[in-house]
Parts: sequence; structure tokens; C-alpha cells
Amino acid sequence: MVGEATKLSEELNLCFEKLMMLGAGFGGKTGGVKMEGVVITEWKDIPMELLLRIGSLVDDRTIIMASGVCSGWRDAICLGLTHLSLSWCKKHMNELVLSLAPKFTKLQTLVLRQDKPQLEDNAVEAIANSCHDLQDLDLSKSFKLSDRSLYALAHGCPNLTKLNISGCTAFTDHGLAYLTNFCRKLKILNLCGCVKAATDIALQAIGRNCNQLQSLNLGWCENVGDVGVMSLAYGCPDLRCVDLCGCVCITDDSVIALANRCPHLRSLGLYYCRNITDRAIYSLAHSRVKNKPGMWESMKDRYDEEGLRSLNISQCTALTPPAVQALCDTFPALHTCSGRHSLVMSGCLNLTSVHCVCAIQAHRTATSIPHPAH
Amino acid sequence: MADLVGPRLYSCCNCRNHVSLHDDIVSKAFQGRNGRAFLLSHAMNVVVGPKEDRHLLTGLHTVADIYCADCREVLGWKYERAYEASQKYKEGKFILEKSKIVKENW
Repeated sequence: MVGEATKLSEELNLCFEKLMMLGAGFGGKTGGVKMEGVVITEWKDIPMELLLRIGSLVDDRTIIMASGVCSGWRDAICLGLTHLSLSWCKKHMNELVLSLAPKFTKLQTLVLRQDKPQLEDNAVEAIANSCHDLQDLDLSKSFKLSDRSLYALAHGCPNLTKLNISGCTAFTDHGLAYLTNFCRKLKILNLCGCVKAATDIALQAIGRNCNQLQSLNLGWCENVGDVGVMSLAYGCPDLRCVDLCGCVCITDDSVIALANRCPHLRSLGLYYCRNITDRAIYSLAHSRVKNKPGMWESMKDRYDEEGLRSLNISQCTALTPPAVQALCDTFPALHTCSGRHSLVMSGCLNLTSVHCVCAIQAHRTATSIPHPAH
Repeated sequence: MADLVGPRLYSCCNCRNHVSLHDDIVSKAFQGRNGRAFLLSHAMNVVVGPKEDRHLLTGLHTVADIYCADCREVLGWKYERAYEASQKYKEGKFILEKSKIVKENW
């Protein structure tokens, strides 16, 4: 075992010397290479920028190991590491976060999505105490976390712009509302499956506090109602992506509010929202008429203003073909053709006649070739 | 275990600075100032303070307090000299108090 270790370290030293020789252009003095005034003689002397550059090429586990090699590397990595993912951890994620949070204080992105729930409140508190620059946090599937984590994040990470707490079923609306009061810069929020947290009270708080919100996922949050969504629409005019899949309580009023108050709406999910009728669809179409760009807008603005790009109305069986076809005609970015399918209507058996423009053209050109069944 | 990132370590409770390896533990049955302590053959990232003579449970010793290199928290002491033959084995070894260190299960 010892022989193997010394052989490995000899190989490493040879490798290091070779690198240094190349760097010096074969004019190097013995015992070191000068690089920007600093003499490099050993691995611990390589400059911080170089170390971080190497770090960006290796996986997260390796960079964590590198931070434990010596104090020079530890300091360099702790000062420079901004993105970290610990999702590869199968058993000890909680302890790992407790060890690493006090050191990696410059983190901006942290991914802690788990396959097996390991994360506990004390770990999130450790993150909130140390990583004040955090902008993007993924805590999805952390079943064990309670509102304590949300309170800690509210106080410790006010610069959060992207937060994913999907699957954290133990959070309540009180905790979420408290968080939004402090984290006002939130742009992307994923609350998929947070049944207790995503209630009308929480949505009203979001509408009051997080006015820069662009993307909100409320999938399968059964307690979401019209009051909440309407507060959201009134409070967050920059909303672009809203997913209300499985929010069975909402009615046309929610969609109408979103259509009227959020001119940048690009993606809307209404899967299983059985109460939606043609009224909602027509209001979406009419909002486009109101917000249509002028002739002299730049090409980029025109693309942005193409309106709705993606709509999921699967299982909305109350809708009729004239309304949905009108919508499809109004928004050129909504497609039913197989290449760019963005208008999803699974389970709406009466809507099979609705087609986007490209689908109709394809139909016309292929006269002799029989179409495969959709 | 593919999960383990590194060797089993102990860190300063205050700043999580790595101070010792689990493999360096000689005995876990020592008594510190306020509770249990570990005897270790080696400690890292610690600063050794001035020597002083102290009467410990096991007799007179010359010890030096050890401080965490980052946050200067007193973590224990180092045995510099022992004056009884039965205690000589401690010379050069370190005591870390259990309440001052945290096990890193990474």
C-alpha cells in the first residue's frame, strides 16, 4: 500500500515538473518556475485562478475533496466557488451541507435535489447563516424540511432569485408568505406539489411582495383558488410562465385576470382545470389583440411579443372547437403540428379538429400520401 | 462507499476548520476541562500556545493550550512533558475536548 502511494506521488511530481518545464519554455531555473512574479515549486503554489479554472472542469465531489487538500487550496476554492450541486449524495447530504456551508460562503447556485430525503432544517439554517449571496437554490424533494428552513432562508438569503421547493410537502403557507416578505427579488418559483404552502394566502403575499416574478409553478396545489391567482396577476405583471396543472378549484376568472394583467405571458398550464370554459380562451385571444406590437417594432420585440407559445388544456373538456381554434389562429407560436407541438389537448376528444396553420398547410401539400393516425 | 468525500475528520465547532483525523485518535477515554476528551497523536491547523505547568488528574504535566488556527478557539492542549514514568506516553500528543470539536461525516 505504501509502495503504491509513493509510486503515485512520484508520478504526480514528474507530471508537475513536466508542466512547469513547458510553462517556462525550457528556460526555467532549477527549483521553480516564475509566473507573474510568484515562484511555483509545488502543487500548493498554483495560482487561485488556475485552480478555479481546473475546478470548473471537474465534478462537484472532486472540488469538495480538493478543498480539503491544504489550507491554500481550501482558501482559494472557498473564495471562488459559486456553483455547487450535491444531488449525487445518497446518504450523507445533511452532514455534508453542515460541513460545507460555513466554508463555501460565496455560493450563488446550490442544488440540493434529493432522490432519498436526507436534508433537515439545521442544514438549511447553516446555509442561510453563511451563504448570503445565494441566488439559485434547489431544495426539491426535501420532505423533511419544515417552516423553520423558510424562516432561516428569509433572514439569510435575501438575494434569492430562483427557488425550487417542489415536493417539500411539509412547508405551510405561513412560512412561504414570511419568505416572500424578505426575498423580494424572486423571479422563478417552483411550488409544484406544495399543497399546504400554496394557498390563496401565500399567493396574495407573493402578489404583494414579489413583483419581479416571471415564472411560477403551482402544479398539483389543490388549495389554489381564484382569489390567489387573481392577486398574483395583479401583483406580478411580468409573469411569463404559469403552471396551474391540477389546480382543480380555479375558474375562468383566474385565466381572465392573467390574460388581462400579464402581457408577457408565454406559457400557461391548465391541465385538469375542469372549470375552464370558452370564456377564458376568448379572453386570452382578446388580450393578444390589445397587446399586439406596432409595425415598427424590432424583430427581437416581435419575437418576444408573439404571445402565448405554450398552452396545456388537457382534460379541459368544457372547451369547444371555435374558441380554441380562434386562440390558435391568434397566437402564431401555438402549434399542433408534430414538430413543434405546444398546444396540448390530450383528453379533449371534441377538439381534434383544431389545427395550427402549419398543420393545415402540411395537410394540403400531402394529398396522395396517407397521413399516419395522430 | 461512493458517497464519502474524504477521510473521517474532526473540525473546530466554531469555524469548521479541520483539526484532526479519526485515524489519529489514540484514546477516547480522557477527561478534559468540561467533560470527555480525546487523546490524539496528531492535530493539524492548530496553534500551540505558551507552555505552563499544570496539575492534572494524573499528576504534574507541562502542557500548552492549542487554539484553532482560524478562529482562535481553545480546543484543548498538548502534552509537552510528563513527570511520571507511567504518563510519559502522552508526551507530544494532543488532547481535544469533545465539546469543542465536531465530527465531519462527509
